[in-house]
Amino acid sequence: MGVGTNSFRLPIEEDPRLKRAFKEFIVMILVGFVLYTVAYWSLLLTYGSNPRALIAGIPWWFYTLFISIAFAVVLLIVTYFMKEEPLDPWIRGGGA
Amino acid sequence: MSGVITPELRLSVALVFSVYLALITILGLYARRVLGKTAIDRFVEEFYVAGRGLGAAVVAFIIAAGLCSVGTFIGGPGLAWFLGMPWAALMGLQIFMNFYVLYGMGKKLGIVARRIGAVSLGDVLYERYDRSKLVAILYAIVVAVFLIPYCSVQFVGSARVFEVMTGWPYIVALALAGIITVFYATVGGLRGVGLVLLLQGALMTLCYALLIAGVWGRALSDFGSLAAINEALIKVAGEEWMNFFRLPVAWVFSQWIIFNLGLIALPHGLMGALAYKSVKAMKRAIYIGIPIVTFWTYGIWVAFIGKIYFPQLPVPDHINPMLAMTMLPAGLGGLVFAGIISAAQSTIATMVLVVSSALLRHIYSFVKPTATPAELKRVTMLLTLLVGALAFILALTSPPALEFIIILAIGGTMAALFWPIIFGLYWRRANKYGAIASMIVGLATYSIDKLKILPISSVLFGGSDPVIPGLVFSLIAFLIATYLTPPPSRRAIQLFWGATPPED
Repeated sequence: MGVGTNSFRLPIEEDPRLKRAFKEFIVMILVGFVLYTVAYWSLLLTYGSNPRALIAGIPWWFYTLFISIAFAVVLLIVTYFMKEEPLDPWIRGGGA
Repeated sequence: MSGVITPELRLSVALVFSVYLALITILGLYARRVLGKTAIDRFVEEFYVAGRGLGAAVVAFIIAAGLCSVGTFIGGPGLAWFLGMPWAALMGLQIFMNFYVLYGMGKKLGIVARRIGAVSLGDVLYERYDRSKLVAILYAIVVAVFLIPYCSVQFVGSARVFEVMTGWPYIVALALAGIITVFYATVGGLRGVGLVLLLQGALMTLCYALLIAGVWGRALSDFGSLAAINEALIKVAGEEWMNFFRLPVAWVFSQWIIFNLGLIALPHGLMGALAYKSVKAMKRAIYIGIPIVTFWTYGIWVAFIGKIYFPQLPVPDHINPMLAMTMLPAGLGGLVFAGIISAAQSTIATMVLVVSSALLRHIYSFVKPTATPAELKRVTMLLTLLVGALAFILALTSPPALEFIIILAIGGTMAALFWPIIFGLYWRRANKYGAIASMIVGLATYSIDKLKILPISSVLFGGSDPVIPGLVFSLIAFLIATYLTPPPSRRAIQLFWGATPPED
């Protein structure tokens, strides 16, 4: 049972809440960081060197706010669908 | 700057500040009463994580206000005014902090913390890495070395604004802002800090609401359109100042990483994930946090626009107080000031608790494992007081480069803790050897580069901030050390992934 034993490889009964937590972490990385970074930096790389650039009559840098708001709405929706579940320490065999 | 301070403004600042201090003192005393009723064997958990019973608004502000700090209200505006577009166009960098901390890490941390009785991130790392004392001690060292100076910077920043806006001596400003903060953190623990945070969060929001109304209202009235404001900025500050690519892209992108994804490695932000009472409260904390932080962060644009009205300032960090004093009615300047002080105090209070919990659990408890609950209670409060006092004493030296210390503190913490936290929570194979190697290599790389002993970031990473080589090398060290050494114990796997408790 100590450190370094092969017991690491033995199968365990996984807590489904913690499996979901990992999926949520991946969603956070993909949507909250990767996609957001790609969208945001696409704007920066396209217009960043032109101080006078306007998009529909509005300075380009204002669109960083619009991208942020759009992603904020997406992330709020993603959060809405996060499963609400009990936080008891163990599913079986332990006290709350 | 002192030339524009009117007696009305000084009076309003003094009045608002007095009311503010009285209110947070009352809230601190109330929290002390709640804490006083706690059973002594549950005192430490109640003190550091408020019995894991915090509601949505408090959790939202522990993360948002704790992580935003004076950087969002003083340092960041100063940089936007000074650097121009390379900083102003990056405002989206930190706005999803509540989502990252709670959606990405919150459920796992919340469940695991309840399993092991964790009151700090250090407890989580200690249990995950097979009760390695070295991991825990390294964590305590990183937290103490980087977060105490970070705390003192918050003291200094708020005292300087106070000094400028009231004309009172620096030491008086420092004492008033500091003593009250240490008081309510020491007597109220996280519950006291959380209660005060509700007031502080409201004041921080009001601060930017007033500045946005005053500055954007004035600019739109003077120039008529956003395009005309853009032209005015080019005319006053020059095309170069408005060019996003004026600074090396590698450096700017590394700031994006530090203040974006890097925030999940900051222990004072993760406190919220240890203390929420239910998943429902956690989700609501995200609903509250995202719009609030977006509002505060894009509020920094007032300093960017402020360049039109104040093209020259002796100190860039003075821009927000200057705008408050000149573009708002005298009575409202005091509210802006209270908002700025709130930003500093909220961060100080959460950091003091993080450092004190690290010292209690990973230094004191190792030295004296037989301490009774009564002793732990006494030491908890004493350590909190000592950490606050130490940050206060450091602030007396009034260091000149505040932003440098902030970036140093965040970067050092990230370089040391990022991979041990992420891999500890989500990679089963990660073991204590990997975590130890990662912490040591991350810290060493970051320090060597930051102190310019070896120019790693400029030679290998195109001029990025030293935190990038720190992260890359600590990742490599983690992977190599992990694969060269035995896997973690089944106990750790069971605690962090299993459905049932470990047999022992």
